[in-house]
Amino acid sequence: MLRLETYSMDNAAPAHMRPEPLDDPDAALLDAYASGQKEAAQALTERLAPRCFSQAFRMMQNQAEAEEIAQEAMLRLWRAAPGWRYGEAKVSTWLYRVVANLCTDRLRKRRRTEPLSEVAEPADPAPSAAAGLQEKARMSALTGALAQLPTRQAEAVALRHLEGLSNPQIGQVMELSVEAVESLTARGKRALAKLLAPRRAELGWNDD
Amino acid sequence: MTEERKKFTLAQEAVMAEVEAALTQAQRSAPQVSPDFMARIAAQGAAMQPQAVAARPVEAVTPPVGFWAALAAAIGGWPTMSGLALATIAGVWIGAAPPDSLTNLASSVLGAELGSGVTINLLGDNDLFELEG
Repeated sequence: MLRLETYSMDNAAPAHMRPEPLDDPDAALLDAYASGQKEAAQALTERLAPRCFSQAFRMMQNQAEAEEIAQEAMLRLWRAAPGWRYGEAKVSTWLYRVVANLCTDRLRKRRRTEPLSEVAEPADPAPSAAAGLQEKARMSALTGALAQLPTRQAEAVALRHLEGLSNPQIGQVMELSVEAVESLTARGKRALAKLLAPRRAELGWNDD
Repeated sequence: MTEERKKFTLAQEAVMAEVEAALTQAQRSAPQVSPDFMARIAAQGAAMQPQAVAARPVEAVTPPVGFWAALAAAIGGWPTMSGLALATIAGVWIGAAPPDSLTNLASSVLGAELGSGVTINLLGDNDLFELEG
């Protein structure tokens, strides 16, 4: 009778048979996850889920939507784990791309249902201070304007200015040259300015 | 540059600065994740995790199956093989030293001493299809 051996936690990955996860600690954890190590799901969640959520929140300015997007991105990561191609994209880079795509998809859907002028202030009870309300209105207007941008421009602007990534990093996420990234962000910001210019007074940006 | 054009450019630059300020503000805007959300994600990850036993190890430790092992498995495993071996040895023994009863039986079945010639009519005595006139 054949004996079916199970790999223990410590030697879960038959390392000699698979490429090294290089210097990406997230990829090493993903490898452990794919090999069935129980702690890996928790560790990956702690490392990556908050980042996915923050990125989604900055683009969407809405907690529930940001949570849904982050959950969907993590779901895709769990699914991708068994076939992950180590040594290609870093896990974090891949996730930036997935979250950015999910956000721009949502923003476009939102644009179809709510025209820019009607982008509402967030529904949750805000501090009654006028400054707080105005900040929320600005964020809401910004999100509405991002929704009006062509997808790639919106993604490049968000990665550059909301996530603070460098142009080469954005190039990796979006699979573009640095020059193409620079051009996209510049055009994106000009488009944002054009969209928001008519709303300066409303947003508390008054002419001097 | 005309006066109007200059004004437009200045206004545009002002808006650009404001857009950048708004982007910076948005960058700082993300709240903390809720423990509920984290628990949901971790639970989903655990539920979708590939099982360590099922996927890879079986394939990794299964030895290659040889011809004789495959044959033994095909005809019913070692119990069958041992029965077969016993029957073969018995056959060899009977061939080498046939008991008297077997010799007598052969004589009576064939109707004569071995080697004297026997005729066997395979079609029987009747002309079944009445082919002969």
